[in-house]
Amino acid sequence: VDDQRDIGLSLKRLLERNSFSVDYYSDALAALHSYHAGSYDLAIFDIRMPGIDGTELYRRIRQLDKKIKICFITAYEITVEELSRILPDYILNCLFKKPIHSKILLAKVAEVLSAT
Amino acid sequence: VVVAAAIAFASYLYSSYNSDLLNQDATKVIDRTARIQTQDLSKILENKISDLRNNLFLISKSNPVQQQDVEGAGTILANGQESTKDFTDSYFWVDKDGKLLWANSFSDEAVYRQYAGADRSDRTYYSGPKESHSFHVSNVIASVDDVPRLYFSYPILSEDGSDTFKGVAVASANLPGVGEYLKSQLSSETPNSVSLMSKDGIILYSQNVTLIGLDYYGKEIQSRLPEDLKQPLNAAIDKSLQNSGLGQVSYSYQENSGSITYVPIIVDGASVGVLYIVAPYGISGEAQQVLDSQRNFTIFFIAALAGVAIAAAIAVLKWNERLRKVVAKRTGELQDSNFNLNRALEQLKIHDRMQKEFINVAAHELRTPVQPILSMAEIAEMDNKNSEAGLEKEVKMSREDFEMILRNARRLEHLSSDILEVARIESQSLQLRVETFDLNEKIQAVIRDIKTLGSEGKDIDIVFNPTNDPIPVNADVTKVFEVVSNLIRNAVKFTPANGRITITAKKAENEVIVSVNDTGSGIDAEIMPKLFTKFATKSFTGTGLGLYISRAIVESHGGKIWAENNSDGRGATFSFTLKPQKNDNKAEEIAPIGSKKI
Repeated sequence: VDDQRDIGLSLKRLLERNSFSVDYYSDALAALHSYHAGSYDLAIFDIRMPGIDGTELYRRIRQLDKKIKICFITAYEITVEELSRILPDYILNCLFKKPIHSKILLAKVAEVLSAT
Repeated sequence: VVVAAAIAFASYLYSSYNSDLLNQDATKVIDRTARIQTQDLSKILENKISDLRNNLFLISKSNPVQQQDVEGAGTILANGQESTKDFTDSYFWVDKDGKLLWANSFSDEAVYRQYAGADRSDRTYYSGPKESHSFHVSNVIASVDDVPRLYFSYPILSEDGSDTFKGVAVASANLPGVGEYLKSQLSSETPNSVSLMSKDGIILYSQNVTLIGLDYYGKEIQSRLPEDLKQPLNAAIDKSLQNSGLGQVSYSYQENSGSITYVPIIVDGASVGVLYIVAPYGISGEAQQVLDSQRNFTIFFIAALAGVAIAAAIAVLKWNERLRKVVAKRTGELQDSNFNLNRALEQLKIHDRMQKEFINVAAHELRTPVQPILSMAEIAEMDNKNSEAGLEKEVKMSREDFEMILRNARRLEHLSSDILEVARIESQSLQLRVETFDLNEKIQAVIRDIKTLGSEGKDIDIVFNPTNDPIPVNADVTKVFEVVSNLIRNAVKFTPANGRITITAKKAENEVIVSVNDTGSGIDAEIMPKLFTKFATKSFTGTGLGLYISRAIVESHGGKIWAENNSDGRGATFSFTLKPQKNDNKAEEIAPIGSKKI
């Protein structure tokens, strides 16, 4: 989920190009409304978005789905420590900084998905 | 003031102490003088009475008296009177039966005929010596002529050894005369007075002659004494009448004080009475003058000291007041500068926070278009390398993907140029190149450019009706172009298809006003106050810096820029002013961009 359409679309293209099945939403509320628990293995949320931001979206999705792994993506100067201060229960340590190089993205996604 | 008061008080005490010492000393002198006078006077009195007694003794032994020779005795009595005439007024002779034989006054025939042979047997001057056979002093006796007298008598005893009583030789002393005599023996300078009182309290002599002969303890005198003086005075008199020697008591009555010195007068075993000298305390005129002048000086000194102290206190208070004012002024200045420093610090902090926020947002804005370019390029690279044989493959890219790259690349270019311009504005390193040009022409050029590049694919009517006369302005043509372009592009961005943008430019009194009116969505009330700040507005195509840069440019030209929602409720109007061309081409009136704090 990323309000920047070109970013969402380009990342969806990149992941699909590497055999993932990807749904993209440019609006957090739309993503929340069409969410079904168990449908996804991994979600990537942009942190700063108008309306519901990435951290709020994380809290709401967590209430619906305890299992899904969630990564964050941001173009802002934010660190993992700052993120864990906002979300104390967030322990996955998966924070991407834009622009993300494809190799890093793919490696991290593979690592997160293989972790139990 | 306290120190001055202490010094004044000490000075006053010292002066009083001195005065007291002087008074004490004077009192001592007065007392000593009184004692000396009393003793001198008593000696004189005793000598006088002794002389008198000796006269009477000699008269009693004389042949004419022994032989009852009245004529001869008269001569002797006259001689006796002559020798003590300053003290006595008469000598006389009384026979063994108390009959008056002869008196000095008997030299007058008439007196002799009247008094000769008169009976004096009831008188103490007769009965006293008759019984005691010794010298006798009578009490006060008012004589026939009403003059109080004291009678001294000596017995006439027979010379044949039988000591047969044959009569008495008497001398009378006129008491006022005695008193005057005693007084005359005192120095005329002394204020002291002399009195004489018999052993049984009869006043023999007093300055006030009406008191002579009165009993001191009698009602007449006691009732006259003031109550508070009566007791101490009576005690002193009691003591004087009992004592046999010299004595002195002090008294104090109202404002008056002094001493009473007394000594009993005894001649040949006969008590005459007690002599009193009353000496009032008080200081001699000169000493008093010295004391007075010293007191005056002390009072003057104290007053002067008080004056100086008060003047000093006033000076100190005034100086204090001045100091307080100076301190208050300085404190005020310090508080002002503190306040200014704090405000400057606060502004620095705000500026610092804004700078950090700008960097953060700028970083976000710059990174955002990079992501699609990077991702799309990486996909292309993957496609290119992903061949079974390891050969490079020709990469095909959809128009959609290609446009995504182009769109983001242009955005990146636009952003980096705007951010660079903001950096130049904020470091005040952007200079204006001022020249004169026709504003109408420039606006038309902007509109042409926008129409060429396309109005974001929307069908929007851009209308500009230039005035007939050119509008010459002195400004940086590139910058003004940028402002007009920003405002029109902004209008295009928020105006829906089939909307209309109307541009006007007109000369007013001292300025040129350019307005861009659109039929778009208008400006959010929330956005309005920060409309011209960095990243206040965000759109997909805009950088969020255009209005900020526009304001910096307009204000550096000495103009204003503002925005308002249209009164008909549709769209907004952005306006800015520029200075018209002036006759004298004053370029220096235009400040560098960013010199005005934004």
